[in-house]
Amino acid sequence: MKLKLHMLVFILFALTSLSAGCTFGDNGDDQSVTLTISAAASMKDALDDVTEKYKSENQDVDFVVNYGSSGSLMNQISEGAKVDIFISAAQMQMDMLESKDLIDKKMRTDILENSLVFVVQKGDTLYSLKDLETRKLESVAIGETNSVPAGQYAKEAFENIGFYDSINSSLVFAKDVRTVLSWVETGNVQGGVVYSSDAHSSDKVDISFEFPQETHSPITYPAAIVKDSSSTEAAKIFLDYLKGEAASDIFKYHGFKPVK
Amino acid sequence: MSIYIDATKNFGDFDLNIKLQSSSRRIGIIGASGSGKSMTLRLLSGLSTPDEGVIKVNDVCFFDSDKSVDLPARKRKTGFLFQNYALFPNMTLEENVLFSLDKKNPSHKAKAASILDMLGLQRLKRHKPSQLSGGQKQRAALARALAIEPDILMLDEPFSALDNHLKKHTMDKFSDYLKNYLGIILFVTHNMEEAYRYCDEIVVVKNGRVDSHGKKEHMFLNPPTKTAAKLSGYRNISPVAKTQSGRARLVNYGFELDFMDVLKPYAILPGRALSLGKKSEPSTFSAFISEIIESPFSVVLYLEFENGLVPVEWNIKRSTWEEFKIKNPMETLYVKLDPDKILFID
Amino acid sequence: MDYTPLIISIKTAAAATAMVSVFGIFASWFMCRYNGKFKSLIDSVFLLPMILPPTVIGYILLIAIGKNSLLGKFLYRFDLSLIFTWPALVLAASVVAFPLMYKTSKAAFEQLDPDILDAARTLGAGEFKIFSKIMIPNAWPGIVAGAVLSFARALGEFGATLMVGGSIPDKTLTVPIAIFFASESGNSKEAGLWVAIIFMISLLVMTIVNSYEGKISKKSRIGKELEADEHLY
Repeated sequence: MKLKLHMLVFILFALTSLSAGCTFGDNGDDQSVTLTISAAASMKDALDDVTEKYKSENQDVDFVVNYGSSGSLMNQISEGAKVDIFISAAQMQMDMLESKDLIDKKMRTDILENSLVFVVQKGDTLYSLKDLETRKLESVAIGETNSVPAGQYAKEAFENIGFYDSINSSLVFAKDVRTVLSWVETGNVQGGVVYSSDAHSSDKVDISFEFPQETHSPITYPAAIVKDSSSTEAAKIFLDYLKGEAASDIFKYHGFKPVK
Repeated sequence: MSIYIDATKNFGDFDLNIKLQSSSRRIGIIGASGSGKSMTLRLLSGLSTPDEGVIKVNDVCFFDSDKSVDLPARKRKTGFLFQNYALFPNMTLEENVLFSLDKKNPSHKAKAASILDMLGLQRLKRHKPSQLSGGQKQRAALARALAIEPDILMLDEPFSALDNHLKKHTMDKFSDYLKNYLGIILFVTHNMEEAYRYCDEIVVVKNGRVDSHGKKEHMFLNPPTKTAAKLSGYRNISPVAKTQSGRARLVNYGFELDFMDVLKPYAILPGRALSLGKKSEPSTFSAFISEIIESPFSVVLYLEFENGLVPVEWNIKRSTWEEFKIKNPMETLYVKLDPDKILFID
Repeated sequence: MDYTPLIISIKTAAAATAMVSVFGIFASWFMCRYNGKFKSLIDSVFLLPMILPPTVIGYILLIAIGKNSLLGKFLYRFDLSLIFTWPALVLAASVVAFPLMYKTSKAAFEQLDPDILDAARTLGAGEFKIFSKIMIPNAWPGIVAGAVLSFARALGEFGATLMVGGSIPDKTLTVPIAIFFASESGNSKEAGLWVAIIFMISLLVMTIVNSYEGKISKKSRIGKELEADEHLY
C-alpha cells in the first residue's frame, strides 16, 4: 500500500511537470508572440486587467508578467534576464538601466502618474498634514528610503514640508508598500505613506490626506523596451496601447493617473 | 520472602499472561527468546506497566489494577542488571555506583567503597565505562545495582554479552559476589545449566505464560512439560498414543509399554533407561546404529529401532562405549529398556 | 560603513539561541516522554516554522504580538510595546530557529540507549534527575550541534524579521535586511561587503562545530581502543 502511494505521488508529480513542459512547448508556435513584462508590484491589479483586455482583442499575443519591486526587477534585467518591457515605479531604476545601455532610450516613455497619500487604519481618526506637525505620532510606516521608491518620495515630502527630523524617530521601514499597508491594516502603526493606487487596493485603510504635488518629485511610472527583446515590434504596439484610451480607463479605475 | 505476579499485558501480536507465586530466594526464569521472560522482569521492576493484574513483593503491593496501585519504578527498590549493563557513559565507575546515593554523605561513600572493594573494582573507580572490559562492566553494573540494597535483584541474561573464556571465569566468581546479598534473586536465562547453578527454583516461560515451575532438582529429573524437558537438555521426546490393546505407544520410536495411570501426551526416553541387552530378553529391542559422534569423554549413538520414525540419541561414557566392542556403524545392537525410567509428561 | 547591523544581528542571534536552547530542549524532552494521541500533531506544530515561508511566520507574529493582540494590549497597559523593537527581532529569530534545536536535540535524546534511562529509574532517580544527569550530558554533542545550527539560522533570519522588526536603523536593522536594501537600491558594493562578512562568520561557526565534533569522535575512539586492550587481560 505504502509503495503504491509513493508511486501515485510520483506519477502525479511527473505528470504535472510534463504538462508544464507542454505548455512551454506551445509557446514556440510561430503564429503567436509572448511578451515578457517586468512590472512594479504596485501595478499588479491594474496591469492584469489591461493584459487580459488586450489578449481578448489580440489573440496572437500572450503575456508573461513578472511583478516585483522595481529594484529587484532592475537587478534581474542588468543580470541578463530575458525581458521585453520594463515598467518601473520610479525613474531611478530606469535611469540606471539606461546608463548601462540596457534599454532602448527612444522607446522610453512615462505611462502613469501616482500620488502619495497618508493612510490610517479604517475607522481611525483622520489626520491632516497640519496635525502631523503638531501632534507626535508614535509610529509611522514608510518604505525603506533607499530601495523602495514610495519610501524615497515619502522622505522627500517630509523633508520639503520640513518635519522629517521631527518625525524621523517615529519611522519604521518596510521592504515594500504592501508591508506598509499590512502594518496600517493591523493597527501596528498609526499611519503610513503609500501610493493612492495602493490605498485604493485595500479596504482596511482610509486615506487621511494626499501630499501636495509640489512636496515631492513627480511620481511617474516609466516604461521602456529592453534592448535584448526579440519581439520589439509587438512590444512597441503594446506600449502604445498602454497609453491609449482603453488602458487609461482601467488605470484610472485602479487609482492611477494616466500621463497624456 | 515472596513474590506474587498475576499480570496480563497485550502487545498486539503477543499476549503476556504471567501467573507466578514463589517464596524461594533464588528463582531462575528460563525460556526461549521472545517467550516473555525479560518482560516479566520489566513488569516486576515497574519499567513496564501491565494492562491488568496484581504484583506483590514481600507483601508490598507494587501494582494492583483494581485498586489503582502502581508504585513507580524508582520506589520499588529493584536492582536491575541489564544485558548490556547500561552503565552511564558520562560518569566514572564510582559515580555510577554513587548515582543512587548521596555523594556528600560519608557513610554513603563508604558503602560505595565497600561494594567496589568486594567486586575488586577499587582500582578502576576513576575509569569511564568506555575504558572497561566486558567483565569489568558487568561487575560495575552489579555494584551499581547492589548500592540501592535492593529487595529483589534481577539479572537479565548476565552472561550473554561475554565471550566464552570470560564467561566461564565470571560464572565461577559470580556466586562469591552474591553471597552477601540476602534478598530475592531473579535470574533470567535461556540456559538451563546457568539456572541450575545459581537458583533453587526454576520457572519455565513459554509464549508469554508460565509453562511449569518447581524446585530445580525436580525440574531436571522429572520435567513436567515438553518445554521444560527440552530446556533441561532431554533429547528423546516422543508423542504417546494409546493402542487398541490398551498400551502406550511411543510414536517416534515404535515401542509399546504398559501404563498404570492416566495417559500423558508425551514421553521422555532418558539415556539412563537404556542398557545393552541380549536377544530374546524381555523388553529388549533390536536397533542398528545409524551414526556415531565421538567426543573426548563421551559418545553419542543414533539408534534406529525397527518400527521407529526418528533415531534415539544415546549419550554414553567413552569407557562404556569401549566395552561394546563395536566398530562398524551399521551393526545391530540389542537394547534393553527400563520402563520405570521412562518419564511421561504433559 | 556603519557596523551596527552586525552588532544587532549577533546580539539577536545569541539571544535567540539562548531562548531556543532552553525551550527546544524542554520541548524535545517533553515529546520524548509524551505518548498521547496528540503526539504527531504537537510534533508537527513544533516543526511548522521550518516549512512555513518566513513571511507567513512574520505575518502570524505581527497578528500575535502586535498592538491589537492580547499580548500587545496587555503590554500597552505598562506603556510597553513589542512590535518594532529588539525583543521582536529575538522572538522572530527564535521562532524560525526553534525547529532546528527541537529536532536535533530530540534526535540526540532518542539515540540514547533506553536501558540507560531504565537503569536510572530502577536506581531511584526521578524523571528530572534522569533528564539533567543522564540525558543532557549524554546527548550533549547533539545539543551543541542544534544550538550552533540555531545560531546560524537566527543570524540569517530575514523574512519574519522584516515583518515585525520595522528595519529601524541602529535599532532593528540586521545584516540580512541591510543586504536586501543595499542590493535593492543598487548599492552592490555595500551588499557585497555584508555578504562577505556573513559568509566569514558562517564559515567560522561551521569550522568550530566540525573541529568540536572531530574531538568527540576521537575521544570515543580512544575509549574503544582502551577497551580492546583491557580485554586482553
